[in-house]
Amino acid sequence: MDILWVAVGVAVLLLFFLSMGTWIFASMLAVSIGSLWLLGDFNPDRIGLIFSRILYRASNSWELSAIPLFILMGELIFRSNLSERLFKGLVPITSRFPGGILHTNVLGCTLFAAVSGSSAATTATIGKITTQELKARGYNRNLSIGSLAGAGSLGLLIPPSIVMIVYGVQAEVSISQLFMAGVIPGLLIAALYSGFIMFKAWMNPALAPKQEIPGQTILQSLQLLFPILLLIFIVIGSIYSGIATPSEAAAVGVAATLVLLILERQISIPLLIQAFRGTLITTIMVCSLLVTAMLLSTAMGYLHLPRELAGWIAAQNLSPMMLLMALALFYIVLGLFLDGISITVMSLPITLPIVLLAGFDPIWFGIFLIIMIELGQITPPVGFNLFVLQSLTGESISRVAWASLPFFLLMCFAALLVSIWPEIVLWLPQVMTR
Amino acid sequence: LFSGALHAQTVSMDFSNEYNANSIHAQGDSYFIERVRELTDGSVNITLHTGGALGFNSGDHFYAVADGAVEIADTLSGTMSGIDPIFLLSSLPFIVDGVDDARRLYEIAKPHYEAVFEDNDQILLYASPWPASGVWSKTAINSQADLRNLRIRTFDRNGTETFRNVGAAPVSLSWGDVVPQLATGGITAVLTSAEAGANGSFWEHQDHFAAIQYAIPLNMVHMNKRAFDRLDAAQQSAVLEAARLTDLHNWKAVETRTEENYQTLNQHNVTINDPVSSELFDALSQAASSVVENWLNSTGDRGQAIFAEFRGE
Amino acid sequence: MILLRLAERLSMLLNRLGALIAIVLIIYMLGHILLEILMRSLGKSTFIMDEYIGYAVAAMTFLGLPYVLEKGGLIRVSLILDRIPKKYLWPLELFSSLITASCFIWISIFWFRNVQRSYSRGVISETLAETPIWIPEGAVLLGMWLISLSLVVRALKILCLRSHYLSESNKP
Ligand code: NA
Ligand code: NA
Repeated sequence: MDILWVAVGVAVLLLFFLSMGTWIFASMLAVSIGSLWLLGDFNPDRIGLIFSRILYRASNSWELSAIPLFILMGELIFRSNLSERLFKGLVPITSRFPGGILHTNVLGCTLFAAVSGSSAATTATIGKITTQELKARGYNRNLSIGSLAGAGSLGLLIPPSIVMIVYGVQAEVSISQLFMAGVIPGLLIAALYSGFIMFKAWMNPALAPKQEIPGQTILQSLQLLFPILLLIFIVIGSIYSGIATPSEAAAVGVAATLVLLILERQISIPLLIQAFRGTLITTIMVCSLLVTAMLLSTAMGYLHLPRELAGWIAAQNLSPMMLLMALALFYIVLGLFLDGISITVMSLPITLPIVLLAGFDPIWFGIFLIIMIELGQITPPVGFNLFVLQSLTGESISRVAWASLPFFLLMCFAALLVSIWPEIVLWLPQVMTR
Repeated sequence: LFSGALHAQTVSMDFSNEYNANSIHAQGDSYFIERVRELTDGSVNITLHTGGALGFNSGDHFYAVADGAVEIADTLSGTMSGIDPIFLLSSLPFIVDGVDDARRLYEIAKPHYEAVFEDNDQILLYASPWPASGVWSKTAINSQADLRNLRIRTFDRNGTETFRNVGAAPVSLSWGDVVPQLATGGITAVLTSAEAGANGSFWEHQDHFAAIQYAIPLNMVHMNKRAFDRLDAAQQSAVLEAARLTDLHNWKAVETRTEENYQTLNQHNVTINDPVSSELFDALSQAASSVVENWLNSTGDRGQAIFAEFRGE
Repeated sequence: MILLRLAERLSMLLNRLGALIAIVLIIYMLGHILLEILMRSLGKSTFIMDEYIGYAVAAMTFLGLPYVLEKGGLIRVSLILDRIPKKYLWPLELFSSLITASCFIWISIFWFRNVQRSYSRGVISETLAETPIWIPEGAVLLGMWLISLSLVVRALKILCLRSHYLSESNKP
């Protein structure tokens, strides 16, 4: 199988550049060029023509504006005392359970996912607050990083979600039904994560040092949480009332945060300067990766890689369950190297007809696919949540990936559950449209 | 021994298309690829990349094909209007009153399209018409009064201007935001085809479709000239023949597609208003006249010549 | 060496300028989206939001990149870097800088031709605004040049200092 050698070639090239310590965005750029040149036999002029246009196309996308704005919102929250209050508010709620305030990762991400359409923004925003607080309190590093990586990817599954919109448009299914279909699986995964944290902490209490229970009542706790809950309410409310589109909600979030900070007299010039500088650095990190990931996808497209691999799977005539396993494997492999939107766009023309023919519901498959994509967010070498966490914590990518492994497995387990009981996905949209 | 032995060479090409695989355009393109394969005994092998999988969308196609970044592309005509305003012709509002009329207009304008492509190292292969655009809405649209302050999503500047002139409140939104905005009431109507609305399950939020016959916009499929010249003579004529067959196929497909779409709409209890009242049609045509005039000014003699032939008979 | 120091100064200054423009663009995005939301609630629209914010995102990404690169904000896989003694790191640093610079220089040659064509033919956007597209395309080109300059200066500095070179990621 010729295409297999091409796939191996691309992987080897990428691993080579990454291990040389080349920036990840530059590695993807170099591999895109190198793979068309060496593996696709394209002449260098044509490669220059293709990628110059794709670089512009990939970055000239207004939906990406949600990234700097959600990051800015996170920065403002982080640099004011809102984050401290969020944390203090969640502490009395979470510290009652084994694992203590590790659950703020899961809870925080689940809440923020309902505001944000991307997993990178969710991870960055919540992570900015929790990684340092958890470290300062002596919590197990692996558990804090891993749970954040896993829970951060819920940004895609809990609506609003950019990938769901891409899938809905491609697969011609209702985006509003997709949004509803993602809610229960999202909560299920959050529950699995929290359950796992409790189990680990119960087995080994040293992982989550017992905190002094502050003498707070639930009411005081809610008082502390009020500003954040208000912000979440404003952002979600702006989307579900039709005032803003999911892509515009980030701007509403920033405006609301600014108003809140002004009312509380927390705003200052140094705070704004720091917030904007931090926003720029995180935004460019994420955007440069997104843009070059699209170059990589273009290169794969020209090499016909995803298409031929999927076609090969189709030719095997598998039983529905075996087909699903094969597809899961296929998506996990693609997820090692590609970002979610590219995976969706490149593979669906081939996989969707196979899946429909095997009798699967397109809404259900959309959710299955998104869980697969979320897995790709936390697998090396190209995993966006890993990148975000690497830059937040300063830990190496291998350390971050290793810490994420249990949560990767838990998400695989969730994929298995929704495959055995498709009602987990389909029940809510069916009830809501009736 | 070899099925392709008649031909000196085997050629592979890539074909970029930003629509999904079930769209009328992708199906027409697959038809073309299949004809090429048959007519060249498999010696010309074209791979269709749907959904913008190569990373290009319609707005990038013109120069991507000119430069040879991709060999063939299926491009929404209006997105090339910044290169030459002639490409706005097929989406001008209320010029044609049906598929046959749209096809006649295309045939008349074809030499002008071909000239622009030729100037930019490309050839025009075939056209891929959209089903006629109408208005999807929550409440029935029967008269001009029903359009007053209607928050309608339009897809280009001509539509924005026309609906503004007729007293509606046009909104510009990206396609991905249309369904969420319909669901939440941010917009109450959409200017698009029955087909596109059916693909987006618009019936979850909309109960009416008014076939105002706004326009039958065209997609154009164009090919890099050098890639074409590299083919041998037999392959070249096979590609041109396949293009001719696909053109026939596409114009027929758009008619049957509209009938199928209407059946789907009926199944989902969408009330279809077709044909619309002449009062409504006249009001809209009136509102569109400034758009048409502007276009004529921007295209000069070419536009005048096309209109003279189209209207003169 | 003096020339190199001057070039480094210049590149750092330009990077800072790029970063400033990028931040202004983020503020602009915020403002335009809020304006659009406000106008939509009044049944109006700016009609150019997706177009202009798209340009802003593209310009922000490329103009802001050299500064973030300089500040060490772009991530890398440090699996091997961490295991090599610091004084032998410079060949790897040199390799990364050169390979990235050549990619950007190569691509910018073709993008330059495209911007030139857009300018000379007067290509405009197909929207109501009819924007001459060489302007946003040119902003991206400028960003590509800034990145290339920054990386070439960096490569020269590594060549001069060799084992004395400390990148921002392995400074103490
Ligand atoms: Na979300
Ligand atoms: Na991955």
